[in-house]
Amino acid sequence: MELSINNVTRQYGNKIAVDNFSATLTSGVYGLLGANGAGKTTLMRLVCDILKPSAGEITYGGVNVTELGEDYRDLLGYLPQQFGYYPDFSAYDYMMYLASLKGLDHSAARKKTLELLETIGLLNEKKNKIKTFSGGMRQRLGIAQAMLNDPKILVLDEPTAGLDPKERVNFRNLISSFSQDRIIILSTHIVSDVEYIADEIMMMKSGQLLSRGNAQSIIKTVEHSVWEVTVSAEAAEKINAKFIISNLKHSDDYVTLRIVAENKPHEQAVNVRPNLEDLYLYYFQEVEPNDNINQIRVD
Amino acid sequence: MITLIKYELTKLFRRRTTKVLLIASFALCLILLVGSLLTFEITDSNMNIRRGMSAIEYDRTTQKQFAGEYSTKEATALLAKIEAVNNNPQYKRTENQPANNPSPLTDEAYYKYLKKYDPVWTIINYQQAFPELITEVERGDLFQIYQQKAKSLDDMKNIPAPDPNNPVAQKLTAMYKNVKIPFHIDYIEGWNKLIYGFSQILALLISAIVIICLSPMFSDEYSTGAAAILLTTKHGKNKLIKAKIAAAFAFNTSVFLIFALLYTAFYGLTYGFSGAASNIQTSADFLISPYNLTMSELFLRVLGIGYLGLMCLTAITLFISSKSRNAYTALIPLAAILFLPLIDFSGISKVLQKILLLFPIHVMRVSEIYPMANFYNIFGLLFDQASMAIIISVLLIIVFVPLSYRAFKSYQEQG
Repeated sequence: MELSINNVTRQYGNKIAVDNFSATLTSGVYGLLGANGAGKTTLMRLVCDILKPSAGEITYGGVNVTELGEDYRDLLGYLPQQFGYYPDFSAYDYMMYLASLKGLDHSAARKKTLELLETIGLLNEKKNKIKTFSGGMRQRLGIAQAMLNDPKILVLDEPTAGLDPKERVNFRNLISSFSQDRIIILSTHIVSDVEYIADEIMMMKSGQLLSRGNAQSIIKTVEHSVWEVTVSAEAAEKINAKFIISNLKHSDDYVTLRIVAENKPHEQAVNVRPNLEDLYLYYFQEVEPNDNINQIRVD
Repeated sequence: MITLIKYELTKLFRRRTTKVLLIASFALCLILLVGSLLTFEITDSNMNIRRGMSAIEYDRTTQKQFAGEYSTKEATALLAKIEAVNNNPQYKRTENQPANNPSPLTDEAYYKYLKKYDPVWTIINYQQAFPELITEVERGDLFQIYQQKAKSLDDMKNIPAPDPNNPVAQKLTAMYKNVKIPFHIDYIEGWNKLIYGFSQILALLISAIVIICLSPMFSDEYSTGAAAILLTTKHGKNKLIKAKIAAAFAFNTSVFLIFALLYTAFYGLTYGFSGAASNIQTSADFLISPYNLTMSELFLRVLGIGYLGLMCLTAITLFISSKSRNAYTALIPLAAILFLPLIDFSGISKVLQKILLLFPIHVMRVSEIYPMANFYNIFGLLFDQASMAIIISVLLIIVFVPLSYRAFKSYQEQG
């Protein structure tokens, strides 16, 4: 089981959304990290064969996924960023409809639908119309539909958007228990989700693969670029204007800043262990004044 | 596959627009039908005005007296009888006597003795003149034909000089010679209203229902983002599209049948079905029609060709839906395709007008096709409007259904 993305480029007019992207994915959970417009969603659409590459190809088991057609889609589960549903369908009807599209016979569809609805905590809501659901409930339903056919390749675009912390924990557990012998690709802005679930992280910038590896190894690349310093509020403002601030804490007249910078940002700054958020900021946030400096106060 | 079709129909019928439109249309038709019944009035032989069912009953009983076929001899005898009434000095009104009838008789005499002959008198006159019409057409003189088709005086300006070798004249001659004479006369008011009423409601209302309800068929999947999920499922790029197309045709067939049944049942129960075997030439709209059809045969053509027109419109709707990003942008070109051909462009271009007559709205208005034959010369072969409507509709269905299939299948999720 090997999904290969070979020198894939996707252009929209003059704009290059995915630029000569190559990666080979075997079973495991892959977290796609990148700023807005980095090309994550486009890449996922390409993987799902609902968007054709301008150049390059995507193969599964050595065969182009478009050629595999129905056989490839049979292995696929997809949750797009904008989850399109039918407001007047009940959760049960919606799942049964997609199950029939995924080729499940009626009894298997029913069994799987009830099982998944229970897993995502919507069993008691199965007869209710989707339009009555909250954003989180809809998102859970979206995740469930993607898993109906026990997909070998599961592609989840922003799956945790709209989920509360408890639902996010449930989601992580669900993905962990599901990930055996499957390729799971997920993108999220919530860095901690990726940190917990992903076996491997792929960093994307301007449509290109920036780096790839497990959380620890990838974090290592910014090992000497994260600093902490406690300064006066006045000095903090100056630092904030010059550097990327990943965190700040106010206490009395002092502010403790966590700074992402190549060089020591302040003579009293000390090197600290980086985390994935620092890494994210290191790669994706340009230096700009941080408005949060006057908003976050921990006394 | 059946399951998928059921789901597509469920999606369609659960839409609020569909529900509201179907209920409103059905109610509107009922109001129109009942309204036309209640406002139908006739003055009886005693000069009393009858309305509604009483008027229909009176009209039917009166006209039924003249049902049958009239040989030339019988027709001449009947015309003589009518002439005798017309010329009866006892019934004549004086110069200064006020009257409210088109004859030279007093109102009492007209309503009592003459009015009942009006419909049969017209038919018999046309029947008697039919051989003469055939001779004229055979000579290549198409004056009467052009007169029948003319919508304005301008249309009468370019009548070709009589020419027996004119292929249109030859074709018409063959058609006229095929018309069964003597005409079978009967009470046909029910068929008349059914044929005209259903043709109009099909072209103006059912067609609108179809484009409004079916325009979201594919486009809504794009605009709601559902397409991204559907197209990544096993059957999303094959069976699903077939199911959508099948559901669309099942929907239009159901709507067509419901309204056809409503109209047939209504006119059957009120006016009755007598006159099924009457020539269409016994109806005021078809007096010199070259088609050898009975009223029931014409109604079957209204159903058949009208249904084909609706199928064609469905195929076009599906295609435009598959190419539009939402139902509203699909509706604009669809409304234009449906209703723009109703504008008379013959003043600008006769060819354009003839082409527009093959658009779905004219195909569905079958009652407008048969009063006179309208020919299309295709590489030297003459096809009448009905045949062309069938050929073009079938071709458009054959072209647009696979194009819709392909468009949805190759949809690329962008933006």
